[in-house]
Amino acid sequence: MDLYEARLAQLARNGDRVAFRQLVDHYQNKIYHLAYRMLGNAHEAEDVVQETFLRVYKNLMRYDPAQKFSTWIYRIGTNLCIDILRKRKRKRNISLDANLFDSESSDGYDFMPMDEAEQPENLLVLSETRRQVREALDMMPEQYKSIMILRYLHDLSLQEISDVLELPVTTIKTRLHRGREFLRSRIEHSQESG
Amino acid sequence: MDCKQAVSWIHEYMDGELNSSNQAILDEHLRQCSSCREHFKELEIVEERVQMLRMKAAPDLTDRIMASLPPQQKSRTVLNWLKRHPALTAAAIFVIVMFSSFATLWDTNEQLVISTNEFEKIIVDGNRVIVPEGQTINGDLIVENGEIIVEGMLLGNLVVIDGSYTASSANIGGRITIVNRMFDWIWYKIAGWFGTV
Repeated sequence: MDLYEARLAQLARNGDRVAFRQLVDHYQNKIYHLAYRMLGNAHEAEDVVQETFLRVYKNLMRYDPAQKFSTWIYRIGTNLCIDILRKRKRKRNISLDANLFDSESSDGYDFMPMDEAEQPENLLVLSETRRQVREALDMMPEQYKSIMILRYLHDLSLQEISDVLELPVTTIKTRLHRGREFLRSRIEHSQESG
Repeated sequence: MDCKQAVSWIHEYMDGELNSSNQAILDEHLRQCSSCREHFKELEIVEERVQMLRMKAAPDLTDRIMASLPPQQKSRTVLNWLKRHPALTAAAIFVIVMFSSFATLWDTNEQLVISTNEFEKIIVDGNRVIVPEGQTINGDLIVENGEIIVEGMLLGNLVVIDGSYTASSANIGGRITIVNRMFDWIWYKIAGWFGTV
């Protein structure tokens, strides 16, 4: 699989758009889910997917086929999301300072998340649980959040996450442990205890 | 084992990084310590719940992505190749500069030029240069823009530049060099330099 991807990237680098299209087919869902979970907003997630592939395309000649293609594309996608989150945080801080009541949504959500909207109304407990987890995840700083998402929603190994984020495995481990503890503290456990 | 150590090992275990002997020690602790057992259970629930946020649906953005790509340029592949091979590119530029400096030396006129020390032995007829039968030229013969017919003997080298020759190789003692294009001419000059150094 990795070999196949490296070959595709090579083909795409030589201007083969059919090969590039295959890369898009294979990775757009992964990058969309990553971005959607990082940003909590379908519109921005779509923009991130498009920008990710544009950057991949423009930088194909810098891609080293010895490296896994998935690592590279996840890195580009994750970095784009982290940039957006940082900008958003800065903007929010400014707008909060300027006018505390001007903000349309107090929790920072511009859009109703899609999976929430699709949830049938009768599944109150299940959707409540999801909301709780999602909110807890969104409270985490982006460098923790990205690790949790790559680990639990994309099944990346610690080593793979370390390659994507270009951080030592020990750092990934520490943040993953802290992240799990943070989520544990935010999620209600009353019904499970005993 | 204290509870702080146990929680650290619980995380190691969840990462799949706790070896089996330590797993046994942790298991023993969890059996005795209800608070650590509870902690472990809660972390397991955290994992499950985070994984609940997995989504299946995603919009198909293929066309939008493909449309956003910059237009393909023909020179792109050449440019990429050059970028990836800086040493070869430098060498190529060197050759181009050298080539163009030679090109300025390249004489394009079509005039017949004969170079030999034994001019009296040859016959020139229009652009034909004839070494008649019975004549023997001891040195080299260089003819540019002409047609050479060797009926006699040529003991030296024969160089034909932008022309043709008719001769039995038995009649020519030295090497025969035919130079037809500018590139060959340059090569002949370079070889000449190295030969004289």
